[in-house]
Amino acid sequence: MTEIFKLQTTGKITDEFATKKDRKKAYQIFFLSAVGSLVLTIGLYFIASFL
Amino acid sequence: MTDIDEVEIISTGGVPFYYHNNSGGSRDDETYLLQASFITALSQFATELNNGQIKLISMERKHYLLTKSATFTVIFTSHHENGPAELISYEPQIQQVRDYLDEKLMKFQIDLTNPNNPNLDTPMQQFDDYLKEQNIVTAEESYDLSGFRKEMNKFIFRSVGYTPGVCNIGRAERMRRLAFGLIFFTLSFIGYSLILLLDLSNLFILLLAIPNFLGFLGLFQFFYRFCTTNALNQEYDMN
Repeated sequence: MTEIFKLQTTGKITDEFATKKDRKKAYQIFFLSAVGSLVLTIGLYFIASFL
Repeated sequence: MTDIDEVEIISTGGVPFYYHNNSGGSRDDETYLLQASFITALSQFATELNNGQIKLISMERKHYLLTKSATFTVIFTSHHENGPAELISYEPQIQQVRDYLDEKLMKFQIDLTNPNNPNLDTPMQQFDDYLKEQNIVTAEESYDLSGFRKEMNKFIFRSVGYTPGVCNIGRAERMRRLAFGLIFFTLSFIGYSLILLLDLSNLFILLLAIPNFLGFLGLFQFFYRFCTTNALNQEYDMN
């Protein structure tokens, strides 16, 4: 039974609808990370310029 | 040659039938008790469904077949870990089902190790028809295997906490991503300090966009409880 529960907690997603939603969310996170990185890096750049 | 070793039929009142290729001996009580609670969950799920009479659930090497009324559950498995089985007394109808299954599964010689094996559709459909013909189950609606698989997927996802597009990692995985993010922010901070201390060109600061991106990626994955790699690989990990 331990094995069955292990199978339940990790797995492959075959449902097309679910994978589509997951991919969309992943791209959102990539986008947010890129924006955050850009803002932070430019911020650091300007701070260094004023120092 | 099919790789089926065991056929187990569980009723709501106990285990009316258990069959193994290598008869003799007894099975592990603990395994049975734990498995029974799992079957209860599946049976509850089966009663929630409104379409079809027979439900097939396939997970790794175990294949679960349920009636809509959840009066009994048939399990196919090719696991060897339980050892040789003890034949348990069974009702004539269940005996009939076993004989039919023996013949059918040997005839089709299908690989049951693949949960999404489309070759299962035909024998399962025929098994469904057989049960109806023999009045072992009564069915008014046609059996929708693909529809059931979708529903079962949802059930498994729900039971482990995975929600498509919302959450695909558990606590341990979240903490790993938090650590990942913090490490890259630390690296970025060290890099920034070095650039200032060594009085290097400010243009080097632009290189920090890479660790900053990875740092944010880790933090966002932690806060959103969502792993981008899992999402792109069509996986979930709720450990």
